[in-house]
Amino acid sequence: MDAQPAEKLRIEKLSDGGVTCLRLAGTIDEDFDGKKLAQGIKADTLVLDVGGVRKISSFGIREWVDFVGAAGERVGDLVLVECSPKIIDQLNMVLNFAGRGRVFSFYAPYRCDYCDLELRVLLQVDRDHEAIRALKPPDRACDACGNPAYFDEDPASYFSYLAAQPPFELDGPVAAFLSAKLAYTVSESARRFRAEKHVEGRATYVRLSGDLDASFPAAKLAEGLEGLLVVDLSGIGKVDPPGAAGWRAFVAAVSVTCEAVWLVSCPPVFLERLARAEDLGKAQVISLTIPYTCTRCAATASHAIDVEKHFDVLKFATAPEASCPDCGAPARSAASEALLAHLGALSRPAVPADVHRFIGAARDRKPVLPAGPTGPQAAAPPRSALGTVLVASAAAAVVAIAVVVGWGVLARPAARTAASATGALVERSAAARPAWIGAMEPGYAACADGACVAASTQAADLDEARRQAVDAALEALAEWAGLSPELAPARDQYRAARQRALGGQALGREALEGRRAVAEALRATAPLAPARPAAEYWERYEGGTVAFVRFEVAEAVVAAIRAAYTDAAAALGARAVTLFPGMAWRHPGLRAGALLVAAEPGPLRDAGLAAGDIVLEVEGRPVASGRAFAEATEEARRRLEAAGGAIRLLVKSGDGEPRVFTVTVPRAVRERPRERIGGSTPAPAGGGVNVWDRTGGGDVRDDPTQ
Amino acid sequence: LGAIVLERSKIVGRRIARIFTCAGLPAVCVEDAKDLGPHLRGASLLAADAFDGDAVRAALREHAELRAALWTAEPLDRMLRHVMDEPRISNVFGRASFDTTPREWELALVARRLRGDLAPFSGYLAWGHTGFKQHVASSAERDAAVARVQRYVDGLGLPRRIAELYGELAHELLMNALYDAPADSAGRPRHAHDRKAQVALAPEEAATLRVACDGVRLAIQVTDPFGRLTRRHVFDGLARGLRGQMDQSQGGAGLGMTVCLGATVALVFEVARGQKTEVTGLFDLDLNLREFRAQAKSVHFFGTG
Repeated sequence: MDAQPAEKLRIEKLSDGGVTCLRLAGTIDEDFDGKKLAQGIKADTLVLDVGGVRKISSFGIREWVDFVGAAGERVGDLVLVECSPKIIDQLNMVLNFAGRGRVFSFYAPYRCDYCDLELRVLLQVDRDHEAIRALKPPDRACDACGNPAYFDEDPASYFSYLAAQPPFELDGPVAAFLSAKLAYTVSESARRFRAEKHVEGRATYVRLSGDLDASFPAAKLAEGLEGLLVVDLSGIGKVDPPGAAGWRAFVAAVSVTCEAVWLVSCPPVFLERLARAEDLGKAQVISLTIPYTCTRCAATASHAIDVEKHFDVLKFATAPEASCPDCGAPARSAASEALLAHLGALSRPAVPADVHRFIGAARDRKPVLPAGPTGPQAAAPPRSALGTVLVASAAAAVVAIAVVVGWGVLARPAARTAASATGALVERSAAARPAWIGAMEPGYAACADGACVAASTQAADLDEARRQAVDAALEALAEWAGLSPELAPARDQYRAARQRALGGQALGREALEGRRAVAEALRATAPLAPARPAAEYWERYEGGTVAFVRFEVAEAVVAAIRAAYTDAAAALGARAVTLFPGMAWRHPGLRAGALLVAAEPGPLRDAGLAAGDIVLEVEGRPVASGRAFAEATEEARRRLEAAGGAIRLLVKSGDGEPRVFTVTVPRAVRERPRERIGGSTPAPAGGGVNVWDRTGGGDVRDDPTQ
Repeated sequence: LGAIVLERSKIVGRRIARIFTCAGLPAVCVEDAKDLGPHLRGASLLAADAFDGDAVRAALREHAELRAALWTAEPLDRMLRHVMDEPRISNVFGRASFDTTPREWELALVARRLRGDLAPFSGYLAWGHTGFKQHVASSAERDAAVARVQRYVDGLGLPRRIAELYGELAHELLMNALYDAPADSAGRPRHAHDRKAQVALAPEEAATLRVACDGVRLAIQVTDPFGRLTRRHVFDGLARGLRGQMDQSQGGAGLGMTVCLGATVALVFEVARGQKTEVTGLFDLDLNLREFRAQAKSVHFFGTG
């Protein structure tokens, strides 16, 4: 009797960041559980390598269609690579076989009858699109005899599906993942080095992708970089010697011009070659990726490792423990020896909390496409924006909530734009209005799609007009950032004042001063807020000057600013957040402070403080954020706890003048430590365990996983 | 019994008529549809190119005892409407071009079958063929049988892709025999609703798999003892599958017929209602895959249903 056939279908799963690749090889039949497989997919881009699929049964087709359908709904993009001829047969035969997926590369079968050899040529829809459309497979010589092999399919049938599919290129991170980590063939253009830069305030976020090779523009990239620099290396593909040399030159340059340089999402291919001191210069590695393989489901995934958090493990050249993101089973490190060897040389990074937030927000920002419309046009036309609100509201209640909130910033100022400029146009800063201004009227301000635009009222001179426009744009930015449900209570406190100031037919002094107060408060509390407009334009009329400004503000930055105002810190039973700039509408004199959002029973509540109060100073030191309040209060408490005492807080409570509150700190009662048999010193309860204590501090290596 | 061959190529028509006659079905040749009239009375078969499909159907409407067969050099889906609309057209011959004769063995098969003769498995192949026969009664045996088919084809020195194609075909035919065919006493399918379940049939319900090759033709045949396959199921399934559409109402994907057709140059269905369904698939080894893909396919359905 014949032996049982071997495993029918082998599925290998590899993940890195937002990209997951499934490699399928063998037979897809009734044993393939498409829906179940799809349920385990968590990715922005799913790459299906189906080069090893040799047979598909009719029921397998059904399961497959279920799989791509369900998987397609769970991912942003679905790409099929290295499709075998069997897959191409099915694409040609079955409607919707690829679901939402697109074929990037596929094999064309060739044969040499003389040598009895089957050959394959990998074609790509971008590079070979013309040949595919012309139904002309490229020539292929037989590996054995060198004579031309023939294309072993009917071109008209074989290319029918692919000829109809528009060509496309892989996104940079996907291409980098496929080429560098899985050794797939991707187009040259997809592997080409790219840099994307976002400058927000003093911080610059640079995202690099593609191969780090001789094309790496070290000097050009370093040019103009200063302040705080974050380099995102997640998209780096291969690193070759000229690329490594270029990197070292780049690091040397920015180490001089920048106050601090941090590297995030360093891939193994980078760390294996460029993690020595001379490679990093001033740069510190904040995070890196290490591949892990699940001990149960065998899926291999790249895990993001926070260097600061895992430093005590990494310093021993050991990968931290991890579990499989799919099944939760323990995963074992699949890092190379070269990578592990470099981990121990990394220094512990010191990263301010604001920068952490900035990185988190910037990382989520999608790469900018090289072409296509940008924000200002979307931000400028106010009436169509309002129309969108209505359409969205009617379409679906749940969606409409988000849409209405999202467009609220646009719609409200638009409804009360001031009258058009009066008098004849005398002069303007350019021959024509830039497109981003559109039909913007004096006093208008709005934010959307990565930009905030604003126009001044008709001002006495250009400086005043420019100031007004900048204030208006930053105030709109603050409102945009304030569109978080968590900030709704704060917005409720000043909504009436803002509406009163901005709701009239013409903007008066109250509106202009309110905008200025909010803009100044934003500058005082949000270091990531842009300092200068990206574009300006002005027009001088007989009746005064109108200035127009446009700030480029990535949504990631808005998210980071928003997060800064919702990040609560606790002290003495109270929780406080950074005062939201919009509060300056209600309290024009306020620029910074800590807004109490909760006051539980404790010394602060005992002193009479309540939620809604704004703490301006602690012990005479101004506090500009919730965290600063907590730190200052906690520091004072620690100082006083031995003997007891009082902390003086300057608090604005209600609409009255700020007043001093005295918070009593009782003397701490110390318990006598229990005697321990053996008399050894107990470990502190709240962390800070010195692992060397456990081994006597000698030359015995401790357990690095502790 | 007699046949009328309506074929515009005189030489091709004569050759077809000769084969029919030798198989026991005397045939006359006609080159134009308007000349059919005098020959239709008493004829049992009208055979023509699908180009004349409408004329053939008109003749069928006039003569209740007449049956028809069509040949075509084009993809099957372009002429399938004739077969779907007219139940007395159950034989489609694929041919390489408009100037070539359909495969001789197919012409003889149809002629002999019309006379009432049943074709043995050996009848599809030349005398020198070899092969194997195996009973398959369970899901586990199915997988082993599929692997054996693939090994057998591999052993003939054929390209790997053809071996895989035949493995796929064997799997499809056995799935039909094990999951679609078995029914309870009320005629309800027993296993069709769950293709993932492990099935074990009684010995007398087992499917019979035959695979053989004579060096030119590769044949595979799966027989089940239920006889439930209908003509409508075959041709509707092909029409739907050739449009790329699935049908999940019967538990499967509704693409089985299309998968089978895609692996063969000819599919022959022989159904004895309630007694036997026999599906035979043939592959022409003188074609490379490129020629095979471009080849017009044949489908023959014999029986009731």
